[in-house]
Amino acid sequence: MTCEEFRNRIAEMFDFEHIGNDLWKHISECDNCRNYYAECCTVVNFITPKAKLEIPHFTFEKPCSKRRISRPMRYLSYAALAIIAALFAGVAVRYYDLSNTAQAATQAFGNASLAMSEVKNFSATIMVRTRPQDNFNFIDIDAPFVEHTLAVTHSGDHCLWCISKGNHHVVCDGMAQYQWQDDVAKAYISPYDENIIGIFNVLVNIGQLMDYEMTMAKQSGNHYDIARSDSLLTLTVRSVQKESPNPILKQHNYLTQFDNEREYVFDIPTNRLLQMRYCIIDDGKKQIVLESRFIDYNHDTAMAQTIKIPTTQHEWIDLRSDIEVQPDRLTMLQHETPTEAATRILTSIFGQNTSTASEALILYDTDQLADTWKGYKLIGAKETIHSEGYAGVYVVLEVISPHNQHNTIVIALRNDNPLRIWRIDGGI
Amino acid sequence: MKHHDADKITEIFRMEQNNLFRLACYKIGDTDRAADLVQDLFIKVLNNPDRDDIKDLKSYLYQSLLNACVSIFRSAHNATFVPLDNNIIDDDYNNDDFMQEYNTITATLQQIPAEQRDVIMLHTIGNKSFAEIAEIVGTPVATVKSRFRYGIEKIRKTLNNNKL
Repeated sequence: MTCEEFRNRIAEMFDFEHIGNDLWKHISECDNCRNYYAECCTVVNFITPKAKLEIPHFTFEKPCSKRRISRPMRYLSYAALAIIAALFAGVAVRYYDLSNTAQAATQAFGNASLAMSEVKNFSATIMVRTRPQDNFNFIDIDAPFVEHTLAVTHSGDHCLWCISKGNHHVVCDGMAQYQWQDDVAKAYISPYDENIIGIFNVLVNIGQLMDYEMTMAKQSGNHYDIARSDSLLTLTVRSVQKESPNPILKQHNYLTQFDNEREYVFDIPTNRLLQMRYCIIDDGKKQIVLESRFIDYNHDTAMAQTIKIPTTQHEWIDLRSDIEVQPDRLTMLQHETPTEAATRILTSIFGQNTSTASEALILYDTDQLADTWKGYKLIGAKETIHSEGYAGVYVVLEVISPHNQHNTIVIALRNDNPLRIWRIDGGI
Repeated sequence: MKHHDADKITEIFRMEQNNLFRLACYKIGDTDRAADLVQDLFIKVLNNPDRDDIKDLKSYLYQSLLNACVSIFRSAHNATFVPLDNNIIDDDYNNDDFMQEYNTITATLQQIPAEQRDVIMLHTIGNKSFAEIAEIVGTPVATVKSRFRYGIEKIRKTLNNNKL
């Protein structure tokens, strides 16, 4: 596909129903078109209303309607009729079919789990609705797709992987995790077992995801559809809200509020996963939130090992050994609630005095932060949100901008560090 | 010919009422009139003796709503609209936020031709896919996509120029 063809078809990237694979493929290879798409996303986002606007009064009364049975009674009658009809019209046969479909799903996921456990190297391009500046643990159903590239290599007991989105990279060399952004001086080394890539941790261990789906299929709380071609098996799983603690979706509590649909495409000869797609169903509409492209198993060499960590180009901060804090202050920091910590940290940033929160801002360029938030005032914390799959907590705060506008901001805090103190995680 | 009974029409309205309302708000700039317009539309469809002749009820609703919005402009070109400051059910945004957003979006969309604006509004405000929009505006899907593309491209260029 040429760049001109891509631009002529850009509208398809915004269609709710179908996005052509060739378009995604093109922007994965062409920086200019990727930037053009990002600009178009900004425009569409700009002209899409965010404020909630619901019809204030609406009556469904029918004009000149005949006298009739009340609506609840009608529904009860329909329900009773439906039950009787189902009993006499073969619900047992239908149940038997569903059970068989769940059995087939159990088998397909089991086969995939086994096949994926034998895979040594794979790479994938994964599109996630998120924001480019956020960490790797954030899905936002209103955000445009951001491309992520993932490469995984299993070497003995170690798993090596690298993940990138834009200029933001994380590499795990089997002993530590290295995180940097091309144009930012500070870079970080984290312990091997710290979960800093959230949803991608699930994808690195994709065999475990297949195990999860297999277990769910055995319990059969979901609805399964299976489609077969000569070489492909497509399995569609539908879960009703809150019934699926799916390892990816449960990273965000709000996503588990929706029904969801998960589609997996397997290569029949090898049982390997070729594609996956996660949709949220909101008000009857399907919204894709995560979609894989080009899961590739054909690497002779381990791609994850070929990534060079730019050790000399950044100021590397080793988070495996923690900073020193005076005992009294440490006790105070360890006893803070997330709300208290968030209030203290933001007050220090807004007050241009980041030294009073330096322990919490170890990952940030504090001068830049103070500059960005100059003139803001903190009104107070509104609520604290715990998300099942996230090690930290989210604190929602209300602030006033320099132009006297009220804004709500959310910061993520986590204290699963050796000092057990609250630190900001990801963006504000 | 399809059979559209009252319950089916009500069900479709339940699903679409907020999208229809939002679209009407952004078309005519008045929440009260927009709400009345949607309510009138519901009654009009229920009372329509030829409703079984309607091929696609959902598209028909949007077509009728857009026509009604145009009629309002034609028949009341001297009328003063009440500002959008009432009847907003608002959890996360205060009214100033909505007004600001309304003014920004409508000012931005004024820069593009009406047919491109309609397609973009049906997509971003009415939450309709391009295939659905094609049914509503009665043009091929390819035309709808072109209108969307040209509209977005024009706004993109304007925003970029304003930045410079």
